Amino acid sequence: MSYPIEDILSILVDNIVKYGSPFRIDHRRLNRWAYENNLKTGGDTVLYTGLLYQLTPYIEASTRYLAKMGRKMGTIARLASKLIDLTKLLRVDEKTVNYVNQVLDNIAKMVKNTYQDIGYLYDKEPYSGVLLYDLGMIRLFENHANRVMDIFRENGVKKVVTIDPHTTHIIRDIYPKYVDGYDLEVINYLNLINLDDLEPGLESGEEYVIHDPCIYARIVGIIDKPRELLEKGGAKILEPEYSRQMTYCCGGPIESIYPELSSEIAKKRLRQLASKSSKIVTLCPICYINLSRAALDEGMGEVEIRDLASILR
Amino acid sequence: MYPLEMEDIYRVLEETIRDTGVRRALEVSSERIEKNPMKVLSRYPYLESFREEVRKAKEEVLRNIDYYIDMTMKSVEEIMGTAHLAKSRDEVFKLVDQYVGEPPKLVIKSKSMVTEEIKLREYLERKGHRVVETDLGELLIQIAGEKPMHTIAPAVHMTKERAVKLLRSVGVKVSESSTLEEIVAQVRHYLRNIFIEADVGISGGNTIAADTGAIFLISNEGNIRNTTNLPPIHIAIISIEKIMPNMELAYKQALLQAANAGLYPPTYLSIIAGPSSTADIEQKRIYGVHGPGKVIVILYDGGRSKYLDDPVIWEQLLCIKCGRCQGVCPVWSITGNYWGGPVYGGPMGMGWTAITEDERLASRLSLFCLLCARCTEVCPMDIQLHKIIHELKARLMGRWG
Ligand code: SF4
Repeated sequence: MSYPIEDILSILVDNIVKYGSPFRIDHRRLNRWAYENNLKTGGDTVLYTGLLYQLTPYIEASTRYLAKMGRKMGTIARLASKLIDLTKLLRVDEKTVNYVNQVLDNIAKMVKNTYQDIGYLYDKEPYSGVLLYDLGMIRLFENHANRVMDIFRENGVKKVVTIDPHTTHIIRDIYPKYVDGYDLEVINYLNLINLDDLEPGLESGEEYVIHDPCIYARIVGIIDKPRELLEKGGAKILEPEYSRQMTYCCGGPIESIYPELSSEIAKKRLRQLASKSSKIVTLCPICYINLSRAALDEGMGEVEIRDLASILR
Repeated sequence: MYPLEMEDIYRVLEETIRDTGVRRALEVSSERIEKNPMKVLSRYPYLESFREEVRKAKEEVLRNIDYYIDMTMKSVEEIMGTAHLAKSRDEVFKLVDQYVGEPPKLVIKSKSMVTEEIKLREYLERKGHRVVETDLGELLIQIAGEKPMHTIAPAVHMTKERAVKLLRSVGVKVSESSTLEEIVAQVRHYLRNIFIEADVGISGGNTIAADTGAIFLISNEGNIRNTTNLPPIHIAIISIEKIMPNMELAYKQALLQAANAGLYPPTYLSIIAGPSSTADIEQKRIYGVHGPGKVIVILYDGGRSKYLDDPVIWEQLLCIKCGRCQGVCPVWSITGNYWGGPVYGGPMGMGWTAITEDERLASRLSLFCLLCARCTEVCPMDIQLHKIIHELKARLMGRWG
């Protein structure tokens, strides 16, 4: 039986159109970090997560769900999407929720060193629409991008600090082509952090193998900064076989098109990384999810995958 | 026969993912395709400077394609060759019929993607000719009835066991216990007489120089020299985007292609400018001495000119088919050209499938692309492959919702 691609895409896309993001995010649980850091609501400059980190627990849970349902997913999903909100079917892992909060908390703290009164949009925080764009759903993407820009305008946002490669690229390089009068200033948090503000949060000399996200390395042009940050944090960086401009994909982007192929690619990348160190540092929630799952599938319990932001202080 | 619907694409990919033999072979070859060019390029740094020059020249040719086609054809005629322009595969078939003549003839071929596109071998066989592929990899593909897996290395997915079985089926004297050396020696023996007895040799062309009409052909096995030199007639079928303005640039393009395929220096680089001739007796020129007396160049369009004005996909026409983008692609390294259309697969295969086959098929295939842009990173022609692929996705999915 063929993979139920149309059904899967329908669910994700319907959710984006209806709720603004591929899964309905529990903002209270996944914005804990923002409350705790007393970020003000909106304002001239905001931290813009594009919800990619917050989606982590849902993507993780939905993949588990899909794997369990196997190819039956087609009909089930079709029914489910009509009758009930799929998000309710997913059992989100509390550990992942906590992890996401920790990563975002660290990012918020680091960004606050530069922008003391940085804002955040809380439950109005919009998803960037990157999935729509990557799938080539241009009409929906265009609508979505304009909706996002309206939200920014309504909240007086002129400048956003982005925190992941996909959101950075889409909103900085792609939005201008689809949004009339685009005038948003976009800066990635890694470029913002001052090395002098960092405390060495690691036991010195701790070895990490670094996995450059494709989009940072080849499109956004962020390669050296994470290395400098890690070193300042006290880590010793190991380069995997394919790194920097030639970094290897984690397989994530075709997760919804063909999970099996996506996971083969993830395993391949994981093996490349793990052959250098069992401690892997990523800078993108999608890489994190895919590599973590690959480690699970391969029974590589010793592998520890962490986001750069969970290491820095 | 080839997948057109999503369901078929999934089926083919699934079979490939589960085929451990193919997976192993692709794993090894993709690593080689990734690493060899890097070694070559760092050892011969002057190659780097050819890139921009070659790209500019190719852009110039594409912008003025009619002018360069015309110039090339005139140049070929000037060196006593014969030149034709064929828009479609049927036009190529008609011309080839004209030169090959009534069946049965023995026709030998060197590997060429363009003849794969038009399925020339199958056509000639249907007509009652005997056709033999002379590139070892392509010969295996011919016997297996498959499609080439890579532009340069068509049988990258082939295991030794399988090769032996295939070769035996056509009477090559090999066995399971044959070493690779023995297999190659037997293939040489098998092809030897075929080379000598062939009526017509058909080749492609890595490039052709518009100012002289000279065809450039790269080979490592040496089969191309035999194919283009031994039979009395040589037909070269070359797609129009391969035209280079002059000899110098054509030479640079050929070297650049070889280097980016990781095969440098190429063992053989043949430059063929018209038929073989002598004027040694009484100063009268006689054609067809040791080489062919007739050299026919067929410039083939096959959908290309339709894409010259395409705002995004036109860039694929700059491709020199080195296949480097394939080796570095995480998807291709698992699927090979099974992720592709009837002829072309992998990153470059999306654009080429759109141009030479069917844009909708190319778009469906494109959905499996990660957009990770490793291909774009290595392409010697700086083709924005991931953007072409994204555009193809958008042409299929753009109106969704
Ligand atoms: S697209 Fe670029 S890398 Fe790929 S085969 Fe063509 S020239 Fe080579």
